[in-house]
Amino acid sequence: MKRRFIAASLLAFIFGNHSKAQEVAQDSSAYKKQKLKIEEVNFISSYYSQDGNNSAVTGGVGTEKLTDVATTFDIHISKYDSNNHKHNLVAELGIDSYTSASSDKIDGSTVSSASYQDVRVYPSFNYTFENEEKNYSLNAGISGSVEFDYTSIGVNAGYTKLSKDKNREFSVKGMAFFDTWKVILPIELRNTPSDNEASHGDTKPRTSYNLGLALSQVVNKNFQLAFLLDLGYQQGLLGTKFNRVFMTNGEMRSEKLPDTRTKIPFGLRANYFLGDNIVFRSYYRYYWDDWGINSHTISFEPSYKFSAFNSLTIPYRFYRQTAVDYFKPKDQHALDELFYTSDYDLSEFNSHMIGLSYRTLDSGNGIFNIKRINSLELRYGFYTRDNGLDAHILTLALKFK
Amino acid sequence: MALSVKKSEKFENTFQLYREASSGANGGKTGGGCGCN
Repeated sequence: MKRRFIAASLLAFIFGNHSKAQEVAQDSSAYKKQKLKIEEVNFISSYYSQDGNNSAVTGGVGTEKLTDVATTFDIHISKYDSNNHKHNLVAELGIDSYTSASSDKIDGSTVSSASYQDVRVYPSFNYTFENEEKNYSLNAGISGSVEFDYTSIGVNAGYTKLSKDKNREFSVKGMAFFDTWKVILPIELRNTPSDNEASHGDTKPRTSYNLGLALSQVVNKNFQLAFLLDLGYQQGLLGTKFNRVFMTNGEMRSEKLPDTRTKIPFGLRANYFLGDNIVFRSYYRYYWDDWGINSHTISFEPSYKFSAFNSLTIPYRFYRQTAVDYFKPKDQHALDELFYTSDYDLSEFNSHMIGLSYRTLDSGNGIFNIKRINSLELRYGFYTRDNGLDAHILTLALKFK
Repeated sequence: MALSVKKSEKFENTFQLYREASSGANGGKTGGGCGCN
């Protein structure tokens, strides 16, 4: 009887576990000694292009043509310890490469300058400790970001608690970013800055603190809700000094914004499952900050599963924001204003985004006959703002298991 | 629970962070880590 029990346990473990890197300690207790397990690997890459005619670098008028190729790799690793607690590590590396016709105009005297192109590299490591018996987890992480004129070091820590029936989840997460700008002024102001905030070549700090709270609830087998609230505070150099601002008398200055900012966004997610083939994902966010921005975001994402392993999704997003208190178009800022910007990203506008996404899952033979590819998603989005900026984005997401 | 942002939306959220003044309440950061608004 004892031999049959051990054999049955062994068979159940072998067929229930797909990882190559595991050994099983055959004993009759619940503890299973395991080596590190690679849960999944993700590869995500996108191509983004935009154009418009309100470049902040040239004072609110001029090309906003920009392309960006972004790629991230991440790997999820887990291990159980002797107390049956789960340890997870996610390591991610991201690389962005962009070209920008407007950044090229920071020094308008050249045909093409070094600012036409830049590369950003951003690694991160996040660790989670899970106590599955007591339904809670702790997490912590570090991140970095490096590009020509901007570096960032980020830290985060959080706590998540599940209800006994696992239908409710509460989480709290704190993040802090310690960033540094290398100040680049427009070519005309490099010897005579328009204010005493920063000189060309200075390094200036920007610090951001975020506290995120989330409450998720499974209402019934078809309906899930989540409430999200963030509290954000930033201080330091918050304006972009190579953005030009033209005043009413034609004088040209470098953008100047307050050195503190408080942000409070509140979000709501709702997923509804209509039968086995249709899912509605929806999202709403209200955002407020002390610079004068009020915004609303609403998105719907109906998804139709037309076979057991294939689905189509049509995402739509509407966004509306008021302008910051310090925004005016070119040539409209008065000389006595303390803060000023002509960056149309901070102006009042509405935007729409519509897209199409196709997702396929491994049916057993792998995708493209590659067994390790567990899922593939190809997603396109078209974004348009009513102040003339349009953008396209194409994303490929692969999951390996 | 499956209420978080999908991985395939990652870069859409990134460019929206750059092109819009608001951020946060979507599971990501409310600010910091980039020279954006």
